[in-house]
Amino acid sequence: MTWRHYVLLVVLFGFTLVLGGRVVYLATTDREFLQKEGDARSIRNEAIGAQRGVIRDRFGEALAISTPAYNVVVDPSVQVPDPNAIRMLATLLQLDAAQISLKLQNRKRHHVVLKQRITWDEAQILREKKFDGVKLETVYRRYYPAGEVTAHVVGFSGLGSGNPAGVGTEGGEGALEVGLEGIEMAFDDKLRALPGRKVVLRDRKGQNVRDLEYVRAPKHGEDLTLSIDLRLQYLAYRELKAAVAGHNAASASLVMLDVKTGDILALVNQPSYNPNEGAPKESAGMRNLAIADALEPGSTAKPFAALAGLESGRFTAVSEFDTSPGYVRVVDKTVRDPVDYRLLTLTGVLQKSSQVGIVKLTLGLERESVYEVLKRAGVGELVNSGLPNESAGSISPAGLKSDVVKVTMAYGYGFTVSPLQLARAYLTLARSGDKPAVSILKSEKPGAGEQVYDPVLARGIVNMLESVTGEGGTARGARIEGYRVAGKTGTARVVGPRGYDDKRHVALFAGMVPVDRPEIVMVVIVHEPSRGQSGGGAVAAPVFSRVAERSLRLLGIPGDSLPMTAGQIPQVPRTRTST
Amino acid sequence: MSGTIRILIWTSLALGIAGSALLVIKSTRQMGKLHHELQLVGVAHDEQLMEQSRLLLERSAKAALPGVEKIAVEQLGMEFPIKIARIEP
Repeated sequence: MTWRHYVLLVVLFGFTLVLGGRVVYLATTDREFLQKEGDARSIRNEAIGAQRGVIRDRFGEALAISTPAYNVVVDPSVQVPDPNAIRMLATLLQLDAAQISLKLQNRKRHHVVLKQRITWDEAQILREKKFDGVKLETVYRRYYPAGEVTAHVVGFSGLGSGNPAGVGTEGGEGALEVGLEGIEMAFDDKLRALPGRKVVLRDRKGQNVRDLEYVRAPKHGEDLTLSIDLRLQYLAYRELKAAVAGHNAASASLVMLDVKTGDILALVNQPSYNPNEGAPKESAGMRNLAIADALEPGSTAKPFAALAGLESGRFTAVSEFDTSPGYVRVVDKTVRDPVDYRLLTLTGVLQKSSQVGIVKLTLGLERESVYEVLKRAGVGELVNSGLPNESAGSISPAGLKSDVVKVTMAYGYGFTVSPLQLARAYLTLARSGDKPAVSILKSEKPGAGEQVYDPVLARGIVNMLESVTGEGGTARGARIEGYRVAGKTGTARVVGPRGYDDKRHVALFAGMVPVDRPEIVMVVIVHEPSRGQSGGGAVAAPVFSRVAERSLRLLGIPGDSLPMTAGQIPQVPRTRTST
Repeated sequence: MSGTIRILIWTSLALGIAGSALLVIKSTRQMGKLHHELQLVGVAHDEQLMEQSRLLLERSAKAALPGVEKIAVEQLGMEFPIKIARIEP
């Protein structure tokens, strides 16, 4: 060996020693720091997408669906696409290349969204092009196929702030989709999807190469089946919209209930909004008037005063009331009929909607009789249908010592109900005094209720209400050929800044059909019609007739005013295939 | 310990190390392959979900009453039964 060999050996040995020393130094002194830095460049938390539950109508038609969409994201701390790729991306995503470059300038950021919620087809093009450093993140987009028609029932969802720590995606993009209105809000716990979470290893191009750990499994939302029949909902929506336009009304509501189950078959309001466009700019259209609005029911309360009369045992359907000379004085208040109806039976009082007749009946009753009958119908208590923001209405026995308060309650003033409450009160009559639970969720079997009225007396009221749609009644516009209809009109004055406004009215009709075996109960309310007609018989009753007529055919309910038995009429099955 | 045994032990250890290294490489490759497959399945799952949602939306659109009525009236010449005919047995 020459001295050159020794020099080489010493150099090699020294080099190895330095390397070894460095390895030992890195592995001991700066180990944690280096490990953290390495992980920060290669290990990421990622969300695993989860789908919000589907909302369906009673026959399985989708009312709210979530479909996968994609966010285009880049992690500038790992890799930024080259200028050519940015130009191509800008073209494909219809963005400005300069703006993309600007967004990606900050290399400390881990998560930059270039475009939100692109479609499947757009995502496929990006996948095929394989842009380095560009990732597609699965998110979901909510669609409401029936749009305005079911807006007040279904509501809408949006990105909320209620994100449990660590759930969702990185970079502040992890806001969860939460229900903001309607069923979406009321049943958010069931419908809500909770994204899962996993720890992934990425290569230097930012592509996932391995799933290191599954921290949490995704939880998909549960599906929900509503009691709504979309066909009837469409019908109700169309007719109500036409009525509002035809009468130049401020707003309107319609509630249709299934007598057997207490299910809400249709619930619509005007004006409405398109939930596919998110929250409307004007909040007026968002209000679910059918459940949140409390109004004085006017003469639609008279059947309950008549029922109080029957319950007292002092009156029957043929008890007579002298309504001449067309007005009656109660303390310092004069109550008038439009004309002098002279001698009317109790049935006639309802048929003509005589104020004088109902006042004379009420004056012959105990102070709290009418109040108690209304309370038993559910006035003043929440319906608990499952829809949010229900109004309980208001009714109080305070003041009943005054005869004025006592009689005004009998013709529907001095207390308030929501349209849904009024519908449930008529549903109770239709079920011969059995008050059922009313639900926005589909019932599996007919619901048993609470017997709040004598069945014979409640049935007697229904028979009396049939006269309202007969000759001489106030609701001939509610008639349906082939079916017997029972119901009651109402025309309530609107409370203005200086008390009741004689020029602004609410037109109401509450009814049921067929009278023999009621199948549907419907309440129609039109606020402030302003084209001449303003009465419940002229404005609301025809809407009832048009909606009920087609609904009965769609439901396959045989008529009861034809001289033939139900067996001779071909029955249409009530259920449809839901697949 | 004789020289032969020592050589055998060293050889076995060397083979063991080499073998386990090969197995690590193989399992890493397999994991990479499975991860790739998982990603493809995820994409296929999304595609199926998308298709299902699209079909549901399409079905809802076709089942909407206005559309059904339009087809019934305009294409099939049907009309809403305004007059009720009595059917005598």
